[in-house]
Amino acid sequence: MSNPLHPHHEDHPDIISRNARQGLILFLIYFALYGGFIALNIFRPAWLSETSIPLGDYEISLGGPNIAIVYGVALIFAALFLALIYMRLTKTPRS
Amino acid sequence: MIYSFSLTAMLVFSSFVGTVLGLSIYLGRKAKSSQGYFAAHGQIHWFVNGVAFAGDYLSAASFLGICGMIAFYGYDGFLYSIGFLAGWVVALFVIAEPIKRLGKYTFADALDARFNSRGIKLAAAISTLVVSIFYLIPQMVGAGALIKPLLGIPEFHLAGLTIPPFSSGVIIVGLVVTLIVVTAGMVSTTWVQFIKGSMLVLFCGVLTLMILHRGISTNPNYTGTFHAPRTIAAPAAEILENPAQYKILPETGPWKNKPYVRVQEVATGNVRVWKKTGQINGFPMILSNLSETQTLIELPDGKRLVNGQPQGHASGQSDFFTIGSVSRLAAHDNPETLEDESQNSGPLGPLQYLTTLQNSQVLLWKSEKTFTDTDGSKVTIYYPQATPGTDVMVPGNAPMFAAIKSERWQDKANLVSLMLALFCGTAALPHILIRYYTVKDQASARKSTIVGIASIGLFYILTLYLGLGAMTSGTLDPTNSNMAAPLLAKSFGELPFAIISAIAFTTVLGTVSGLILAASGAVARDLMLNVLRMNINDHQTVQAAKVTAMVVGLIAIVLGILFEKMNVSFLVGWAFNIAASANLPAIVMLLFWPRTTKKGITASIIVGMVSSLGWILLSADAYKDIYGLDPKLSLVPFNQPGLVTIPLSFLVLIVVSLITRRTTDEDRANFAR
Repeated sequence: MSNPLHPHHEDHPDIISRNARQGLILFLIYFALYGGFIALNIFRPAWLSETSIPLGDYEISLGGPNIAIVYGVALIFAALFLALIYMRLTKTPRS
Repeated sequence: MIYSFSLTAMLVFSSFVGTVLGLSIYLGRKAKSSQGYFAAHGQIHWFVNGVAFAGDYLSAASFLGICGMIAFYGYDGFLYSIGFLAGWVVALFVIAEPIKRLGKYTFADALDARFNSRGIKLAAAISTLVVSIFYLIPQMVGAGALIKPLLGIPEFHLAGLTIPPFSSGVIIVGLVVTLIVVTAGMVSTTWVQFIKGSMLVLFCGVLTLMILHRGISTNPNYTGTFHAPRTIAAPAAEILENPAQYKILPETGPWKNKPYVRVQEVATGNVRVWKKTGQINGFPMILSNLSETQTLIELPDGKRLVNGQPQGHASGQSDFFTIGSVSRLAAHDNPETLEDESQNSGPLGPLQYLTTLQNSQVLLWKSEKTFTDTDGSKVTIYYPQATPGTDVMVPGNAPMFAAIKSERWQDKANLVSLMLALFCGTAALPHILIRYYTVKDQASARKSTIVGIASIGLFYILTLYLGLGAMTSGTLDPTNSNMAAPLLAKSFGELPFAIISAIAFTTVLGTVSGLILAASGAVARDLMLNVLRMNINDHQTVQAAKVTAMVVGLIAIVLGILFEKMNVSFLVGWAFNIAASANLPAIVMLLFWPRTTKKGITASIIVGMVSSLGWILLSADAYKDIYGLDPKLSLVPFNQPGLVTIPLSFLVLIVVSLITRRTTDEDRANFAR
């Protein structure tokens, strides 16, 4: 073996690239959510004051607050949720 | 009276500063080496570091600026919160681990890990200094602006010099912070930030519970300084039918064609200004309804008249009455209709609070642009505007975010640019990056970022309630949105006010200490040790860093006093844009593009820094606020540079890397021949 590090050590190239790849995927997911929010602000600001989402013949009620509030708060929770997933994924097994 | 000297606030603040300084001096004994001074020996527990991230990041702009923006404009302030938090996702998923793995003490260390290039270290050190100083200015300006209203410190006379309260605020913060940093570097900075971060989140949580418990009222006169603005129905009978008592002044000079009526009380000669509000289908009525306004008149001799009388609290004097209320309150058991109104909602749940406000009508106060009257006095008028809750709970009310309602592409590009800079800037702020060196390994770096995200995210949700609470608690100062959060606390009593004031002030301490430390590391380690290759040992490096911290502290004090009149959020925007344009492309490409060269990195940092700074200095905002020129003359299409300069910096890195790589290959070929 050219690399002296244990394959489960967090400085091992395999672990580094695995973490970087997973981080990048989660980053892209969040970027899409964040980008969606900005796009809504730019292109469809009128939708932000709606309190329900029309879905065909049905409407999904947001429970009172409008889309702006729900999406905004959801972005904060999404950051935390994805962060916890990342922590789970990158957990290095004990060597 | 809105502000007065508060002994309790002073005591709470002094005891906090005393504790922190004592702790710093105690810990200072342990921070004699570079490893101790710059990185707290890499031994900080991840949880402490995570909360310290919050203490480092949540600056006065976050706390006071966002609360104030929400209190005055509604949702818009929350838009900032979303952008500020989103930046942490970049920090965690992209930056945290490599920065920890590659670097040791400074951001330049990590960037240069592969190359050992003086060029990279020089560029990174300069960008660290530039970003830190730009970020320091608004913090110091904030400290100066806070000291009088929060602690009620009057002006000092010292050896024939008069030191105004603003300057003493800047000086106090500058000295205390420098002392903290110089005594124990990163060790004490971490603990200051930890204490500040936990106090901030904790007390904002308590305040939010108090807001929800109190609910919303149409007459929120909790401090005795509020009254709902009066209106006089058309025709303004009270005025017209009492010619012996009231006189309507003619609309002359700058008052011509303005929607105001000046009414003079004959007996006293006091002049009050009323706003014409009545409209039918968008057309003004011949005799309008009149609504009470508040006025500030600065006479040519410097005296100030508030609401027609000299500002003060003696008889024959007057001061602003506090504002912030709902004009119509939806009953929360039937929130769909305004017809079912109530005066007081009683305790509300977190969701109910938002829904009730959304279905009510709020009085938002606006101000007319200050104009000069015929006698040379400067007039500013503040007037209430009844706004449906549905408009308050969506973005687009603040001038900053008017883009959302605009159809111009430049306005939309400006908004995207700002949100991009907030997203990319966080993970490139030097004072945030150095915090990664205080934990022992990558796993701790990850965990502490997650604690940071949790505390910062929670804080931003709490500020939404604080802002909306301030909007409806009848304690706002119409002239100063930054005071919204402390004044909201005042509506619950003197002690909450004292605590929140002390926390607001320590907020400045926590962030400023991080910035000074980042700057001192850039000078002592990157410039002196690595670029100039000065022959200094570890102990001397720490000494040099301490001297630098003192110099940077002094520079911060001077700049803080010089930039007194600058808009704080404007300056924070600068720092985020410069950090995002100069630092982020270099870090990201170094990690994800194997063909990155040292010249590519250096060029990208320099181009990112110079282009974003140049763009800002040529923007309409700078024309208006710095040079006092017509903003239309500005040479750039929108204010925020990020949308152009971040991609530009990436592009420069790619192009320069490709060019320099080819040269290197050729060189190698030539060498072989």
